[in-house]
Amino acid sequence: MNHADNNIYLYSAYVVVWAIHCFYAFTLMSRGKRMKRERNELRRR
Amino acid sequence: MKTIFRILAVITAALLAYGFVQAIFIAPTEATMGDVQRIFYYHLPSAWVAFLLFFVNFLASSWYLIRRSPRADALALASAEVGVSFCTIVLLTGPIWARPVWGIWWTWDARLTSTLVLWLIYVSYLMLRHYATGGQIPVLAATLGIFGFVDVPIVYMAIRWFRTQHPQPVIGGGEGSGLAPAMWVAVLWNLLAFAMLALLFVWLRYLQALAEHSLEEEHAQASLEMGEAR
Amino acid sequence: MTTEAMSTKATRTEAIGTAPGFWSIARRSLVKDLRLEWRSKDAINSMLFFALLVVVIFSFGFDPTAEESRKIAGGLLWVAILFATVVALGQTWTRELRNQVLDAYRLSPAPPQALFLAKAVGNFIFVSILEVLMVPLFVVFYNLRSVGPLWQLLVVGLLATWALVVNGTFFAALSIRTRSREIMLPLILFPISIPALLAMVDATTSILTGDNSPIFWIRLLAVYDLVFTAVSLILFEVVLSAE
Repeated sequence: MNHADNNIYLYSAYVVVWAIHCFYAFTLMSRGKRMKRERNELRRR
Repeated sequence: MKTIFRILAVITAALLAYGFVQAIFIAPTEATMGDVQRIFYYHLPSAWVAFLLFFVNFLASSWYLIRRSPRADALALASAEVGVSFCTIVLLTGPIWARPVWGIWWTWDARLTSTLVLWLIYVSYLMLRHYATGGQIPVLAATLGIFGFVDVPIVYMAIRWFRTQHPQPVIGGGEGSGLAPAMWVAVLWNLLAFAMLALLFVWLRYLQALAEHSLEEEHAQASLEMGEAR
Repeated sequence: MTTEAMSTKATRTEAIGTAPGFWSIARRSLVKDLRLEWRSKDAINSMLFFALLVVVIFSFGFDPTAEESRKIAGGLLWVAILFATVVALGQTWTRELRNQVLDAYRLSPAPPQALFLAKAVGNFIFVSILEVLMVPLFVVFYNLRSVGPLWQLLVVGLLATWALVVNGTFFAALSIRTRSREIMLPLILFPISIPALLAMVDATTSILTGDNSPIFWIRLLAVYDLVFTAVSLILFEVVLSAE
């Protein structure tokens, strides 16, 4: 087993971890924006 | 509240950075597996955080059934979502680690299999919340949340026995199997960092859930008023 | 005692004395369900045919030798029964909905636990009938012969069927309040049933092949049954009163 070759797996794992956390943060942000927009529309009426 | 959140966010960022340094640079290289083993420092803490979050879901669901408080329901939703997120991480990092080390992606290893079942249970919980109609979503979801968590010890027992009957390579490292103290340090720092991150995510999602609840009521109020105006 | 007090006392004693007890409510509800099923016969016939189809299709998929068949039959049989159960369970509550029986349940003073028990036992009987058809078919198609004793298989069968039916009945009640309710039931039932499935498959395989002891699995099934029967009984009222 070549330890150096395996580093690609190490990097992929860390990328996966952060990608998922960023994705979740992104869903939080877009939901927040959508709700703010909806509330502003409601208030305007 | 906002300032507390900002402070915690900064602390969390620092912890995550330090956890990264611990995992990649400070922790000693594992003898047999090499640097690939460092995946473990994200794999294991994520599993513990996910489990903790599902326990929170259980508490929130029970609280909701007793008190019917919208805050309990919001917390149940938030903890389930963030829990599934962390659980997904465990399920993806496990095979990525297993492949170079043991040559296989999956072995029905005890921890991975239990995590898979946990993931399935809570994804089904989220689906029920998504597909249920009307104002009874919180009640139905809360009952499923309780069923799900009650199942957890049974799942662990079943899978552990299954493993002893059909032994195969253990991916996650057995319970506390030969971890050097320096490695435990890295695990614990990352555990703290991820727990803080989970806390922040849950807090935000909780607030959003409550806001969604009140937004729905505003919508309902608005339609009522429009109806009256005619 | 004043006449008023006496009459209230009398009515209350009358109410308690003549009020049906828990078990008689359950029994009566069960008998009513069974009679309805028997009269309609639609559900039974279509389900029996469905069960038969499932067994045949599985048999086409796998064509094992006698030794192999003992190893895989347990798994195949219980997966087939699981699918048949889900289809059967889905039907029972939709019929209730159609006849607005649920509203009647909610309004009646009968304890919800009795109704749940009646439903669950009715489903248990229904699924057992399906199993009585499917198991001999499996034996025939796979030339099955068990190494272990049959009574053990019977115990596993009873415990396993109850495990599927008790949660299935509860979740069927949950899923009728959702969109896509046909898919909702298996979606929430399967994950929670995984430990029970593991147990029933491994117990059956252990008995058929005689390789391992099924005792742990049988105990696990018993624990599963106890735990989830209790939880279902406790929480059913909550689900029933939800609109």
